[in-house]
Amino acid sequence: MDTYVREWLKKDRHAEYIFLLAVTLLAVLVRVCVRSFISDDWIIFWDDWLLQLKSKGFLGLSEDFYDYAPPIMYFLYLITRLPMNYMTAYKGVCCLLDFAGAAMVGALVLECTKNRKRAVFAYSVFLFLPTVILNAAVWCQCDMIYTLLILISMYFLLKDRPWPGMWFYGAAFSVKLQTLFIFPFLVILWVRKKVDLKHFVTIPVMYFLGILPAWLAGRPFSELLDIYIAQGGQDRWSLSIKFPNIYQIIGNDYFLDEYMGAGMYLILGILMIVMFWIAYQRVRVTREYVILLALFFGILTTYFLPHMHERYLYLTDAFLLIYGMMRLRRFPLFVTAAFTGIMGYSQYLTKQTPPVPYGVLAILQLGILIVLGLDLYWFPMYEGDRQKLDDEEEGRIPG
Amino acid sequence: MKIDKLLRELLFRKFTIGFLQFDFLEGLLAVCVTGVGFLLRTPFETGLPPFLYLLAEWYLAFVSAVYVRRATRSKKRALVTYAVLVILPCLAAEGTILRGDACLGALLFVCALLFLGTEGEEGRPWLFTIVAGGLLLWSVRYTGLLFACAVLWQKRRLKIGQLLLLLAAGGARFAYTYRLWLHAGYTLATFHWPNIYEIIGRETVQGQLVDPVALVGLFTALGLLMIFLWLFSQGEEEQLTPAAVLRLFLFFGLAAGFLLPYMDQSYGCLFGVLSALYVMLAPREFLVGIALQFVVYAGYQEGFRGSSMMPMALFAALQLLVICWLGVRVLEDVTGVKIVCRQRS
Repeated sequence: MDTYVREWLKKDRHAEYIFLLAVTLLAVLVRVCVRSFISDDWIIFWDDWLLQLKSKGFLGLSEDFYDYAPPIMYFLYLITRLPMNYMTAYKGVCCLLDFAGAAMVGALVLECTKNRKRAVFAYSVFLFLPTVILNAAVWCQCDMIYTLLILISMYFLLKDRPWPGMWFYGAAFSVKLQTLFIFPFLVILWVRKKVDLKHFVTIPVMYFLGILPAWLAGRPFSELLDIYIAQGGQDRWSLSIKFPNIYQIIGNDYFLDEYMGAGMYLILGILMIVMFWIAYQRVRVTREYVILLALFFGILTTYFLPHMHERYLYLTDAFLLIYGMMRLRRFPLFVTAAFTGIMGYSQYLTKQTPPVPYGVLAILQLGILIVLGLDLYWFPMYEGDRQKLDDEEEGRIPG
Repeated sequence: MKIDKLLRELLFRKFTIGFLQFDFLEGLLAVCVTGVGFLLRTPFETGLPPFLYLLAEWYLAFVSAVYVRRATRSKKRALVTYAVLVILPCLAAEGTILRGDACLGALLFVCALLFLGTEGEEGRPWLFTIVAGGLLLWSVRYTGLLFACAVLWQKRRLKIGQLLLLLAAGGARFAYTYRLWLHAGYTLATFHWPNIYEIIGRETVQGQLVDPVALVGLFTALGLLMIFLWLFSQGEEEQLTPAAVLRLFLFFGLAAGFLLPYMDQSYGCLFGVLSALYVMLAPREFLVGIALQFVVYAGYQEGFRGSSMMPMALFAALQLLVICWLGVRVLEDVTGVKIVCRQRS
């Protein structure tokens, strides 16, 4: 019997499937268990918006009670059509997207490493990442929507299929402004001839398609165009909202208006310098390089931009996991990022000051940024010795 | 597509204006980052930023780029130096926000460095002496640089006459300033500059003729600087690379400010600039640059905010680490002995 079970597990990847099934079931279970938690965001925003959409129907989108991008509101409208508790339905759909996102993370790892074990591991880790569990199942947030779209976009870009890649990027942009954190990597891809200018047309087109139904419902076109600008003007009470970035070191409650402008110009200048340097880099554009670029720009921009929220590292956490699977010695960076990310969530949900000061978390985050920057800086040389480094990581000593 | 090819080629196309040859992308960065540097300063003003400081900061970035170009022969590094200095937060804080004169001091010192010359290049030591002497006479915050000049004399970069002139200028200013300050009854031993007094306590002793802590700090600074001067003068009279010269100035400047009492946040402005230049000359030392930017800006942010988000002692400890690291590296430069193991390249 024992031999039979062992043989059966080895055959046709049965062990892998059982592991995946068990992990998925556990991930479902944890989400089911926390589904009844009611967050402040639900009470203040989502519940009210859903009730308005329920009472006014689709034409309710003509009013200005919401400040999210219209595609999120269509999603809420669909929730109101479901014959079940709204919060359960909302969380249920977002949690389903968690699984889709985890599958995409796994697919990207498989695409980049051609290693099934690493892909399965990445899928499992992503599902049990505390910030992923808390974001949708507890907090009622929907960061998974744009993250999933970006992951799909990245998948197609890595497959050298720029059109679907950019359509998905455009779709992500129509859902959340945070998509722009990684935008500079697309400019570098353009310089490297991986995408063309024509592909960038997908961004305004998808944004227009995203706001079209709300416009038809009656909301003024100018208001819909300004929705992201209006979002940028919110949260002026702190330069960093539980987010581990530079403002947690230099002060997040002084020079609020001044640092808001100066911070944006500063990151603009930094991006110019970094992109200038990268444009001259003699490097082979590999899958790893593309992931590293997106990851680096995602962390760099959020480190200097003012008014960042604790949830804004959601996307880079996914990329950091993928990168950690590609270069195993960088996996500790992902663990560190997961640790820094959870603090903000913890404070929001428990209303308690975290035991580790945000300044310390900001220094940790700076450490991650520096290591990734060095990886990018040394990438041409690293690539040249790729096989040797891979062997070292795998524990094989070349003869 | 044609347009893509055209634009990509345009990015790297070479243009020549007079004796200046550059890629389109280099020109684009220079123009755009200058604009961003200007815009970066506008949120702090109701009107336009102060013209004099704006000009001084821009010229400082330009002169620094020239220095890096001469020292490294790399146009790109020079351009990146210019871009970094144009948006350097501590410079904007000193000039635009505080209207402080330390950015002018930094400008004069980088000019002096240019006169000193780079490796294998004949400098103009008398011009260096005049400018550096002027700085030493101007403010006591440049005292530490005097000790670096003494090491440069030992390395035959300066003549004895030049060194004596610098000693006279620096000594006169030092004696005059501290004779006034020690009897001024200051209640704090440091004014937003994260140094040793942030670690041991910055409140001064009141009710005495002279604050003993500040006095001891003053003489400890002088004593330690003399010891380091003696230590760094032990090696052969060999040429120092531009990076080693910057290291020397950074070490003595920071070490002096770490111990001298009554220093303010503007003390860091010059060293914020020098650290940026140092990273361009020795990219592997980038952590020194990053750490010093945090240390220097920590002083300004405490000055603006009234209190620091993180303990100033932390920034002081970070600065001490940087000073120790620089000290070890300077010792390597002057003795030729490798103390720190290098990582593989």
